[in-house]
Amino acid sequence: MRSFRRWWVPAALALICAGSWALAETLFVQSDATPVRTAADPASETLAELTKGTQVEVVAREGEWVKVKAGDREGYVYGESLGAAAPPAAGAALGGLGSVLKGSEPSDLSASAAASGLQADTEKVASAKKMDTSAVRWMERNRAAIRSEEIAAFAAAGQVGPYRVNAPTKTKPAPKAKPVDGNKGGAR
Amino acid sequence: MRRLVLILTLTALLSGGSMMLAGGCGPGGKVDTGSLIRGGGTLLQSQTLTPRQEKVLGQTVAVQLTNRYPLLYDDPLTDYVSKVGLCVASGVGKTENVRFIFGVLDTPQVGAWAGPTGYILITRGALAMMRDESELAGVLAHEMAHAVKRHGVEQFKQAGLMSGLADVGRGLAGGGENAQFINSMAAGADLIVSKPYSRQNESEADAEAVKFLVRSGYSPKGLLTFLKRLQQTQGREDGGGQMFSTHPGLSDRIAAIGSQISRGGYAPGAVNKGRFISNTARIRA
Repeated sequence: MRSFRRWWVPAALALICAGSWALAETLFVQSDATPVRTAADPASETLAELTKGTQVEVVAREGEWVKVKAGDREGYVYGESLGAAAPPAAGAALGGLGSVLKGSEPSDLSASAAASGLQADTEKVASAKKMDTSAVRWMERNRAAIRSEEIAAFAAAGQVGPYRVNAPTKTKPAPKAKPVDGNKGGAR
Repeated sequence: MRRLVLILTLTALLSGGSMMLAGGCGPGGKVDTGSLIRGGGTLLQSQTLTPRQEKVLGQTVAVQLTNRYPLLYDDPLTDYVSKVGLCVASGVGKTENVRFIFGVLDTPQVGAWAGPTGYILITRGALAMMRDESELAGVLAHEMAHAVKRHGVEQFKQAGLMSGLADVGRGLAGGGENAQFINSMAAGADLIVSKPYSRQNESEADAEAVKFLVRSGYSPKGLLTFLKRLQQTQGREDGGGQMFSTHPGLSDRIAAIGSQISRGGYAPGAVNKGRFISNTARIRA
């Protein structure tokens, strides 16, 4: 009996822990460079940035923000950045438009990312004014990862952009009519 | 639309509050030419920012906005908005030191902004108010026109902020280290984010936007229909009363755009309602 008393407490704790683990809610980060912040406030400090597909454990919810645990760190992530399912893998079809998700060609991605990014002076201004730059860095990376072939496919599907090059710009004859722009809409 | 808009929460909309895309919204807009004069009658307006300074100013605008409103980290939606914007860009023509970068702000407020060198941010509320891709293209085109015409830089100079850079003129090439530079950039970005453009700038952005849209194959009527919806939502003819008193009223803008389209006799252009609805379904849920 004494032996039982000696062990029942740790055994119960183990069961409780196991139960908690089983009930823990797990979410997936939906995009790269998702910031983890010190508070449920977009102006708060960024502790880390999570990559797309990272699994996080929900610790608590505060309005539109979710307090999460990722590895050994805890912080707040904006709820819209998390989903119950893992995001599509790179290269998966997007919206039926025939385009592909960015990042399927790592070399191309890294090259284009290197060509963009925040100016050092911008970082200095932001730092002096205590502003976080992670969102704009995400925008820069997002833009850099959109390949010209994707834009071309998107334009073709929507009959816009360069694919209008030979389309008439006037519906009625006009003697002096030049295409309004003088620009035939060539790809830039 | 930054001014195109300007901001108005859905709540404000319901309560008849101010609005934004009204294009023209916001107080001010008048230039204090006196502030342009510094020492010995030198007109600092004649000075200009270097390409790198413009880039820093544009990025600081984006940083300020994303610290004011959360950025929506949504790859598919941001990709969609970016691709529409980049299609519009095919009608912009050659530009210098402009590279369009797009983002969506996660707020129900209706608004859009343009930072120098092409940082375009639009709100989830504005997207939710649109009905098809031509309306999105129209709003983006209006903001892109502000960037292409360097209206933000003009605003920066008109506010006398060049004086903050004048003393470091020689050091600007390697600059950024001094507080004056930092304060000028931060103040300039705040100005661009918060203060409406002038009537002239707004009208010019509308006119340029129609050209961009036609060249890129989008229906220019999208900008028109969106402005009309804003007007209906507003319930006010002048675009929101005093807040927008210094800007062209919505009726004036709608009339001017309508006239431009009518004179042009353009082909109908793409509307792409289906893919707009499918790509923005999540924010309408």
